[in-house]
Amino acid sequence: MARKSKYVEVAEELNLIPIMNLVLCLIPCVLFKTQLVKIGMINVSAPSFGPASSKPKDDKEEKPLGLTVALSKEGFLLKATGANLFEVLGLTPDGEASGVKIAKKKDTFLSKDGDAVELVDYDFVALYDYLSRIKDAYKEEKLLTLVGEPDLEFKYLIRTMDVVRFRFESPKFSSLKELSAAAAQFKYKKTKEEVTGEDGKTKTVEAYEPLWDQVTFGAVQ
Amino acid sequence: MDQKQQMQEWLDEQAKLKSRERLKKELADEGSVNINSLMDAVTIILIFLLMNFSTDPMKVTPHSKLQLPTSNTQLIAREKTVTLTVSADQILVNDAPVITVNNNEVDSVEADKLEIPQLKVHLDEVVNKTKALNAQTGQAFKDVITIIVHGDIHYRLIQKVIFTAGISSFTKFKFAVVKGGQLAQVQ
Repeated sequence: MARKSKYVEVAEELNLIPIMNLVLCLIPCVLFKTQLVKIGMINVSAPSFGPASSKPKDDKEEKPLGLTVALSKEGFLLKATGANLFEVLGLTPDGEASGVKIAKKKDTFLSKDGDAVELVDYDFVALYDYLSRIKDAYKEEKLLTLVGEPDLEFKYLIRTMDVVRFRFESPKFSSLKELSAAAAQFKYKKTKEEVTGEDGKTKTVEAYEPLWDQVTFGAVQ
Repeated sequence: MDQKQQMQEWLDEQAKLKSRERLKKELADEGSVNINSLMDAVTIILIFLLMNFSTDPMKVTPHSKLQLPTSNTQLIAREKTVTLTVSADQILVNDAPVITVNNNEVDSVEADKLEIPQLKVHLDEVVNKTKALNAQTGQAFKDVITIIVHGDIHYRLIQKVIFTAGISSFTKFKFAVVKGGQLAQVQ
């Protein structure tokens, strides 16, 4: 008859306390370097109201377009020093209008809770349409000056910049919802660009087709 | 008889002591904390933090006075530059407070003047220090400035800030924004 062993093997639990201490020390270190908000950058050219540009003036006789988008409480106002925008856009001037007006429009917006709310806001759809048509007529032009009313909040200028910098895949949008979705999903038209690398070699890279990608701020008038 | 009674008492006492010791031992075993579940939670937190670990040269912590506007830009900060922060209550250069902002106005500056003298002095100091440092390392001074602006700040103040930065030898401006957000979203 087999003898029953007197001793019972007891599996000891792993001592996790040193690892736990190490992990708890790591957490504050990582937490310090953690950025929960993703920060992006928007490049803006030297403003027109700043010190004189060091760039030499072109000898070309051709007058630059000098396109300006002014933001006011009523909406957008498009002006150009080098062209008649009414002619370019095929519009009839409204009396003695100083530029093409794009009035604010009622549209459906998403609230922070995700509910649909109707608000009167800037007509970004019309702005994109007009700016892409002006670009078609002046393909070489890149510079656009943004001017805001003195008490206009900065966030509206950033929203406007999101619309004016690149050409979207779709030539026209029927609603703000469509334009907003295209911008959020980066549905920009792509083009091939030749870039010279640090080694001096020229490479062809795919890039977004610019619309008015050189944005600058103008003086309040 | 007395001896028997004494013996019995002694045995009872010994039995009581033994049972008390056993109880003490059992209680000690049950009282140990099981840290396995805590370890799991901490590991999950650590992984989450590591996923969001940022190596960006610029760090912005938004708060109630500094709510950055949202944008769908894809550009990120690649290099460390001089930062100029315009929050709802103050202007800072490289995180050092320079001037107080009160109701979208800088107190000591006349409404029609674009230059903010206190800011100019601070920016000039920063430029001179950076130039001196760069001269020692043989690097060229980069005239790039990153402007971090609270979304509700009025254009008038932004214009003054940009103008002052412009006359302090900065020619390239970068605006910090929060990535994401949609045009069709209430701002």
